[in-house]
Amino acid sequence: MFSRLLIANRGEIAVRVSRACRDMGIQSIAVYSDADARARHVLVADRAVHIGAAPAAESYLSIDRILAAAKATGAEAVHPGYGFLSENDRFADACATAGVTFIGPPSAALRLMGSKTAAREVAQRAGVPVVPGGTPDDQTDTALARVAARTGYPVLLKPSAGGGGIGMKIVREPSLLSAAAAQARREAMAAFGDATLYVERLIERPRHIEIQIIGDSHGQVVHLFERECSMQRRHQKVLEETPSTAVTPALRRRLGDAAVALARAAGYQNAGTVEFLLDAQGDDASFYFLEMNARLQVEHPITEAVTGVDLVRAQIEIAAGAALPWTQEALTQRGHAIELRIYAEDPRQGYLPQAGRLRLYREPSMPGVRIDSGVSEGDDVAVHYDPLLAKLVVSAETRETARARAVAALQAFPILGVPTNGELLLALLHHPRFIAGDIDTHFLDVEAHALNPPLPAEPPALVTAIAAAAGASSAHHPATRTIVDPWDVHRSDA
Amino acid sequence: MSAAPRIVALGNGRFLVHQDDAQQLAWAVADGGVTWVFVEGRSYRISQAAAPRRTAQASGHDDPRALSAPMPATVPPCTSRSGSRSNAATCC
Repeated sequence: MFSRLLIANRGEIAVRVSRACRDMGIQSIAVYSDADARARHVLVADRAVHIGAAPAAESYLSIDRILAAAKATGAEAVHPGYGFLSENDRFADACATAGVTFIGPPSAALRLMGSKTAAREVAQRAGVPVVPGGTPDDQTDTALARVAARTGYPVLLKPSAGGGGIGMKIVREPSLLSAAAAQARREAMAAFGDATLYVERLIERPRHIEIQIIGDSHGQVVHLFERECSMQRRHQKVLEETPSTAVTPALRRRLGDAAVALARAAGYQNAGTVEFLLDAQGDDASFYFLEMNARLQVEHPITEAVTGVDLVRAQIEIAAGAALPWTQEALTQRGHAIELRIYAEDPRQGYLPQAGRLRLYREPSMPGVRIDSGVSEGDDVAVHYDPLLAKLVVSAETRETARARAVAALQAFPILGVPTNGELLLALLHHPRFIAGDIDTHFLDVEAHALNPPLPAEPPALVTAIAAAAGASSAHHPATRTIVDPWDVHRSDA
Repeated sequence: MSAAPRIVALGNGRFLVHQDDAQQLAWAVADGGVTWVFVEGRSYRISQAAAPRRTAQASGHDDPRALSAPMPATVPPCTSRSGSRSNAATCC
């Protein structure tokens, strides 16, 4: 086992990896930029190394600086967390060259899964379904119609060279295809200089379901069940839960088998996540491979909550050469877990990231509640990095108990000084469709108005009264004032 | 009709709110001209120089309306005109 491990990341995931190191008796080494000198991930580590300026390109994305820090501290392994360099095959190769173990999949698997085309081909070879469709060489209306008929209506016409939704047309029946294709070609040519169209099955109300897998270097691969991640805005997840209300035991087996087959076909080792689009629900529901995330996921704690597996510990042990300690049959799900991502952002302004000082930040402590956070009271939330402040993870015997527990925890989690999405999360937890489990990837867009109702002109009288009391308290009792300054000698924790 | 709340400062930003035979915790911090309040799972940002509003409506750290407060300053009379001669000791 390693004795020193460098964490090539920041924020809550760096804190999470540090905790696993402490559990395992491994010395943790944090790295930090100018903006993070006193950040929580630095304070909880056994050692910390400054690696550069605040912009990520000059610090957390600098392979040279991170490996120099590893060399200087004698680190034997590097955990990349998620984001930054976690899926960078050049970083994995550079670690190997430097004689440092990269805690993640082999670089070849990173390259394979990093290419959408290659990953789709691997999936097809492994018998994993992909969204039906194709790009006919013959781009006439007749040829497009043949592909559409084979794919099954409704279909989506997409510019082959494009992205961002430009030129995409929904076609619900054959008679409408020619007109839609003409318009799609015009828009594709104008935007991308290429009128080639791709025909794809339209999934009207998809769910985003992902399967956690983990493999070792001895040829074993298992899955740790699904996570429901349909609550998204702009492809950014906001709430995740497990189990999914749409997944039956039979469907879970099919999804799990497909994910394991894909991981085996890709020669995958360590933790990874296979993402699927789920069409409908029930035993026979169709699902299609989306992509594989070759790293630890942000939402891994909900899997830990229902399986009892410490995924970060398992990652480290596998990277050190250990075999998986469980068989597929030994793994079970128990209860229900929900993760809420608390972001410094304003949902009413297009989820605009917010910055400022956390004047008051108090994490709730109650049964079944876990907080993974990278911030503390008094920290400045900067604009350089992801606006994720904390992950509130709740678990309970049933979904409804977990939901109620999430509401209670959010109501006892004051964060003041920087606007957050807390109110949106609360509205989401109370939404009848969420309570019923009736969700899909369009939920946040479709229900935006209900989740973000117009603000009243005046705050409730109770709030005004509390504000007045706070002003009086601040004026009359300076020794207990709550304006948090890290240098304030009156702080209760000073 | 609810009775007026009775609010007890507990220190360290915590407040106990008594109202209608019930009580609950609230949190608040005053920072210059702005007070932040968290109660019932919702946060509010209240500026003394402007109408109170919820945090979600804030566009940044400072309420632009707060800039309308008068600034302390003295404006001296300007007696010079075009063509006047001036030296280092001359004001205006």
